[in-house]
Amino acid sequence: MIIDFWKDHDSGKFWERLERINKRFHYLNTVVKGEISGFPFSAKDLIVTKGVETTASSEILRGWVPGYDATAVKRMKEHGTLIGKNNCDAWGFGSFNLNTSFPVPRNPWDEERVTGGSSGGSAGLVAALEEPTISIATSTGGSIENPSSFCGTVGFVPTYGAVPRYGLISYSDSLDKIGVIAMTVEDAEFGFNIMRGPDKRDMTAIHIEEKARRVKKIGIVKEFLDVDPKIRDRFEDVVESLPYEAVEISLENTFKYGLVSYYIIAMAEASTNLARYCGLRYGRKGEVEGRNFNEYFSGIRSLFGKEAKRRIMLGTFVRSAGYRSRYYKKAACIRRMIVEEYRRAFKEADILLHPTMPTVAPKFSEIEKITPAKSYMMDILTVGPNLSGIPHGSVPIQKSGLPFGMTVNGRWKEDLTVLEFMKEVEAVACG
Amino acid sequence: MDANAVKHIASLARLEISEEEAEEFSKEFSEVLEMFNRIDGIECEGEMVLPFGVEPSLRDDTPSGEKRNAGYVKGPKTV
Repeated sequence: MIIDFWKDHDSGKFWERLERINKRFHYLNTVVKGEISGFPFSAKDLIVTKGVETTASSEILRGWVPGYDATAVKRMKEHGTLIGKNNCDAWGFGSFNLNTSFPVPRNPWDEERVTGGSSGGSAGLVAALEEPTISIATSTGGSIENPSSFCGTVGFVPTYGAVPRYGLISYSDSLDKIGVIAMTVEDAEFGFNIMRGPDKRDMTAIHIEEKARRVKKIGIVKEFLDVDPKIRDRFEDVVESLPYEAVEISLENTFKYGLVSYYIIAMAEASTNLARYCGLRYGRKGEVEGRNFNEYFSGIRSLFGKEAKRRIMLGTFVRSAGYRSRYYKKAACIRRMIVEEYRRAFKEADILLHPTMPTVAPKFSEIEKITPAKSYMMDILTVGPNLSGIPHGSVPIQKSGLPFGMTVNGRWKEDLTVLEFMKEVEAVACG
Repeated sequence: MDANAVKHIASLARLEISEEEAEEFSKEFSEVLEMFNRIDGIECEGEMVLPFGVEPSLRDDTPSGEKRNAGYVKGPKTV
């Protein structure tokens, strides 16, 4: 376990290696070098850290040094040491970690390939280091699971609200979750247990079930098996090795409409959340002289990257008069259908399983000319559990060559059941 | 969505975009909206804002008793 490893480990070599890796692979936007007490952890640059620049990987926040820690960071600092801020897609907008104002991070297994996103710097760093570390990451629609699958790490996304979001730069409040990326399920659980629990600063923060349930039946989501044949074969092998009765589960509505519902809701919420970046309160400031408020505000906002502009505009459109019912309200209504579909599925099985991503990490050259709509489709398997707010995590099931993962989903608040099951998958797949 | 519509949305969202960007976004948005239109005609009822199982709690210092009514909180007079 991470805490035992670091009891008497010399951190000199660690810093040397970390700096060498970071120079080549770009996993950290800021390195916080110092004595390591407890264990080292990093935090995605979307999470606020006291006295350490927090940029959300966007030009617009460059230079912003917060005066407080996010609750998750504060709790983690009571046991470990912050070593840096992870590169990510700016504001969490992306599936490949290409949308960053910092150098694009590279996959530790093959530099020609992406890390995945949006928590690409988190998964990349954890996978590339020899020493165990933990990264505090976030998922809105798959940002922990996707890079974990592509980089061969364990990524855990708790029940919505299980880890307080105070100090998380908001992307989509009804979907944002803070979770963990680590090399083993045990370390991910360790990090999660430190961060979880109610917080008076976050009214949606909740308690979870304190005991893991005995799993009797597992469900295989049939619509989620249309993936790369190599991934499907390995997934089925691992399922067969698990000592549980497996039943076929259908999540038809989630598969057909989840992606659209997710993107409409996430963009609508993002467009309101990003209205606060106007050059007055945070980060970069502009020339005031001779400009009225709107001109000043719009000028500073031109520093947003392309994907942020896309999401702000599409989010504004789906909320606008005349389109609100057709898009935003319909998407929120479909979300209810999806949540009910998951609830029905959990009457038939205690755990639902499916591959995490449809492919292994793509090459940069393969996605160079991909359109935004096509890149959104990469999230087809990860948006369902995120819309439902259920606990879920990706465990690597292929560690040699290019890695990929299996997602384990459980009922609301049954995070500990999910983690226990993830350990079983880990033992079968990589033991 | 044509370039003029994109420019209109950009001004609503307080974003400065160039003619070139407006053309580019116009093509991209048309493809995204085509994808979004897949939910046209779906019958469903009742929107969901927060996922199932979350009941937002109020802070300990939130007014109670007569200052609470039908889920609302009466705040102090400010004007």
